[in-house]
Amino acid sequence: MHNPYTKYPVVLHAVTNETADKNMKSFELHFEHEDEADRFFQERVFIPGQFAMLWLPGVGEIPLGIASSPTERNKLLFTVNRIGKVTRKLHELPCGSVLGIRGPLGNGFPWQDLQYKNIALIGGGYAFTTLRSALVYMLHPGHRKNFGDIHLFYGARNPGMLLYKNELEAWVEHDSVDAHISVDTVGSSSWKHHVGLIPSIVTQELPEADDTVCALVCGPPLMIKFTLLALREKGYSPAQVFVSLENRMKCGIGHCGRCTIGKVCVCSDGPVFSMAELDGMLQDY
Amino acid sequence: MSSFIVKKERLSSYLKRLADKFEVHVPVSKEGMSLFAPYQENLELDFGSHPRLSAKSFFLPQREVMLQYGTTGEKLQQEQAAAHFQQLLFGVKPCDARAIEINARLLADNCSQTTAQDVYFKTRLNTTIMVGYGCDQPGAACFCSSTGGGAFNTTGLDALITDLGDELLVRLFEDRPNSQKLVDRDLMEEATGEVLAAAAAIAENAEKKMSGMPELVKPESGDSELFQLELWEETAQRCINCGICTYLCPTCTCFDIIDEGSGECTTQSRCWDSCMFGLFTLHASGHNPRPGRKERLRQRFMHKLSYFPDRYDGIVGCVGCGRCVMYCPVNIDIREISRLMAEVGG
Repeated sequence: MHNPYTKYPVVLHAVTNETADKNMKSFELHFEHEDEADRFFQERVFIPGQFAMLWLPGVGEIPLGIASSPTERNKLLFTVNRIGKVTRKLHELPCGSVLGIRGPLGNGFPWQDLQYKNIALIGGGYAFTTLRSALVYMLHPGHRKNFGDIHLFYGARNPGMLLYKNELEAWVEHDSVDAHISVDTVGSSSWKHHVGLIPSIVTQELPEADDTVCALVCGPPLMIKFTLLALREKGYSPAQVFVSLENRMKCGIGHCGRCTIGKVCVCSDGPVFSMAELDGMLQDY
Repeated sequence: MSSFIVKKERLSSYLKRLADKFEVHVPVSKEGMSLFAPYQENLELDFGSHPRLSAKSFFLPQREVMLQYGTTGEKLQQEQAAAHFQQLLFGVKPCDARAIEINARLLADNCSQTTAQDVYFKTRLNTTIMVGYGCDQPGAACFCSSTGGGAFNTTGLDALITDLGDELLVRLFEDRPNSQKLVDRDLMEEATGEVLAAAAAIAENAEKKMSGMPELVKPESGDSELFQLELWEETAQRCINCGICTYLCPTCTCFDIIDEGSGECTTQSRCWDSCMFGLFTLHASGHNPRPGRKERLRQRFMHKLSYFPDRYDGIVGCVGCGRCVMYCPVNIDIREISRLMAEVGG
């Protein structure tokens, strides 16, 4: 019988500091065994929007949204805030350390429904990780023709807190991407993008909705709340907006009981829910 | 269905022969409580009392090592904790056996939305034999018949015993392949129709003792209405979030996963956890979706009586064993909560 708790061994290959406060780092992991990488990266097994459990031997196991795209074969990327017991330890690990991975887990973004649509990716702060996965996936030459226009909205507290700075410029310049990068406050005068909160940037810049659009939203609770309001005002229907939720998790497979919101289990029914599903959910998160 | 008689003077010989083949556990009285203990000769068996802990521990132990790891150099070796000897629980209460079937809906069901099955629970489910002991004397706090079960309910059991005084009637359930392993022709005799009739009368009598109690069913009102009841705030003023209800509950299966050890040898274990504890849902960021006693208490009852039946064919997540009623230090009673939830909108 398959044991869902068995981990794939992975090696820490590279660490990138992402933010000016040095609390966010990206960890690139490589699979130890080719066949296990094949299994993980199998088409329709791993899709953007999913998460995995990252395990530090003797320390603990945590759920993390997968920041890399299935098209980035064998490169598994997590961008992690230093905040708890496991993430503090992770931030100190030297390259070459052996870790464990379980996954991919959860439903991911609804790619069947997103095909041939104009997609708005709307992210704030630390939660941009699975949106990076979605963006890289859609921009891949093999997938690009399956999607219409891409509107990218990404905000952070200040320029130093933006993730993936190396890639941001390329996304902004990309012909297929209508990019709106924003910060709450500007540190230097060389800032050439928006200043303001994401919900208001969305209100200003996102075209009105028709039946060809869908929006994917990831961010802190308050940003999500006001972004959903802005999207409704733009005419987005509850079935056209998808939100990724987070909750404390241990098992990641719907068994341990702690990530539930009413009868919904965030890990196994989600983490991605439509705004329609969200509207029906109890306010217990 | 085949039915056999074991004379009580032959019971210890019968159990001894079973213990040669299986890891047999029997109910005994110890320090004023009834508990399941590994079978040994000359143990004084206590079939009548209600064991303090349910049979849950034999399927989802309070603590178990799930995986063992060794890291040597850059290699990670992982081993699944070894499967154990085939267990036989002799004298399980029907409510506790039924609870295992309910737990299996979550942990071992192929049809659940996730395809993941708990390999540890499922292995034990496949290899454990459960011999029930019909409750001819339901306890003061028992209400199994209000939850879809009954004092002689056979769900989850391979065999059921009826105590006839000098002898035990053992009914084997042939749809459960393991039941045949309980046959011992040297020590058992076929039961006569007369004996079966006497046993049926005992069962009927026991059911009567629990009749007239209100049913525990999923309330008709929707979750959002139930969620906002005053009831939760009022009841939470008494609740101390001690968690005893969840530990003793045969259908509470929430667990924590912990890593222990260091260097070359580490283990990943799990232990029972409880929705009554603040840490259960606390995010690393400090945010807690269920920050107070009210939210946690509400979660427990809403889960048992509304969320669980919603997901699993209307079955409530309670078997009426009465343990939470008996041992709650502040007398919170699920029957009362259920009644108040059912009254909403009615």
